[in-house]
Amino acid sequence: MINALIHPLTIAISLHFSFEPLWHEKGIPLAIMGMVIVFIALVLVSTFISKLPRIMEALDKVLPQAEQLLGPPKTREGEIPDEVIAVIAAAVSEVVGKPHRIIHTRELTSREMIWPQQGRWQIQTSHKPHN
Amino acid sequence: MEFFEYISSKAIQLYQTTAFPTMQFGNIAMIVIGLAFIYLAIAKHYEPLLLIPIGFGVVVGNIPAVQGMSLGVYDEGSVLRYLYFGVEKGVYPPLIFLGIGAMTDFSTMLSNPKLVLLGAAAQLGVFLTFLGALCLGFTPQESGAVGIIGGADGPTAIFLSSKLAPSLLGAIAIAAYSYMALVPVIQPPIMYLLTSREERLIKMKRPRHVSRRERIIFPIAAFLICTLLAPGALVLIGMLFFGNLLKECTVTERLANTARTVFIDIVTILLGFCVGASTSANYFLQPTSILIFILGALSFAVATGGGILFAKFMNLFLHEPINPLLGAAGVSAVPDSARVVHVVGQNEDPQNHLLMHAMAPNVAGVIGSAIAAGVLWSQLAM
Repeated sequence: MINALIHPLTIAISLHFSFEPLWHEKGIPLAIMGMVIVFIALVLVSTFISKLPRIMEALDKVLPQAEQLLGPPKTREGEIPDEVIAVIAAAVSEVVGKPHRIIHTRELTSREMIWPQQGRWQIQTSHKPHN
Repeated sequence: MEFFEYISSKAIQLYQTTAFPTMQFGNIAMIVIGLAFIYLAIAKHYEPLLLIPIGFGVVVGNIPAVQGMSLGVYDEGSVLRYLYFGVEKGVYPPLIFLGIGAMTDFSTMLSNPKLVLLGAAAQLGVFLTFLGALCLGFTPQESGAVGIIGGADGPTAIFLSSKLAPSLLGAIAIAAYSYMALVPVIQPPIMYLLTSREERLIKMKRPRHVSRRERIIFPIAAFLICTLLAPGALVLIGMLFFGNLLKECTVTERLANTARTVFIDIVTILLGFCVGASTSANYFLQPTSILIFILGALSFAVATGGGILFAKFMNLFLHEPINPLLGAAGVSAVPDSARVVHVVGQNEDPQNHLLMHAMAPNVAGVIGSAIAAGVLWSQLAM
């Protein structure tokens, strides 16, 4: 039993360090080739991206109305748009400060809107000169 | 007397059917590690979405099987074996890439194309670690699988090791995900070491507006460029850009929404749990696992350094210098490394917001590591 318990942890690391495999075909030559391919691919992607504005200009001449047809993704009923969620997250982060997690967001009902309306009314009337 | 003999024999028989007789010290050690993962995820918020499934999987995978029963991921016919099929055959990682694609916004990258190169430079960690593993006696296939840890991309690491070195899959996956969780610990010292205060204070130009049409054309064009050069990356890159096209084309919002929410969550649960369950002490507690962890840490460090140094090299030729910290985001631990860049930048100047800019090399790093994996697979599988 004790042997069975100890056996898996009796690990002997014997390092066989050698530079010899580096000179094989699947050593340094492969590493250099891999790095070159990664660079070529991303340089081509980068070049393509830098030419994209010109491609768009050319495309505008052929398909002038395409951009208008591609509106922003529609939000489903009852769903809050991503932009609004981002604004809510920024506002909560500013107010709370410490690490937090927003679990749920929803639109307020007309009855619940009374409180924000009251808040706005107070803010907007706070600078009125008193008589 | 006979009664007591009968009772004791039954008690022994009952004991034999429990997991205790075959429980080894290694199993206990692994269960403790699994529980530590769960603790870190819950108490310290270290990658909870990954560490909870992996941690619980580690606990499950180290309950010794009863003789004659198929229970573990390595037992033919067991339920876990069928779930593990997706890991073993590399099915889950491309599905995760689909979800990642549907989440990723490439517009910061499209507005500053030169930052793409930082994602390529950070792959230096992959290939230098590959060479290091070769020197330490790993086979070329195993070395390729170990090296890809430096790509800082869990699904890519799992995909490549399932193809090149299935026996090391558990150790490589755990190492990759552990280091991804430790990005905020590993990267900052290297960033401070390789950059001066003046360099960390460099502010980036506001990115230009990217039109919807550009965002639609990009995934198609980038897919063609990458896979024509490195066909081995077809599955990962294909799913990544397919997911992104679903997101950007505006007419498949339902599909994109499913891919980036429920779908990726299901696959993450299965992948994390199965990887954890594959770390049975007999397979995991090997000398090679320790070497893999050491090489993985080096790989991460070299990748971070490679990105930063390349950014400094680029600054020699650029009129508008780029903040070299952005190079650290070239490792594709999305979005953790971008967040680390932002935090380190803000430590010097609270008005310097680098997060958006760091996302460009970060997503380029995802593409770069997938291409690196494709190259290694195509060259080493033969």
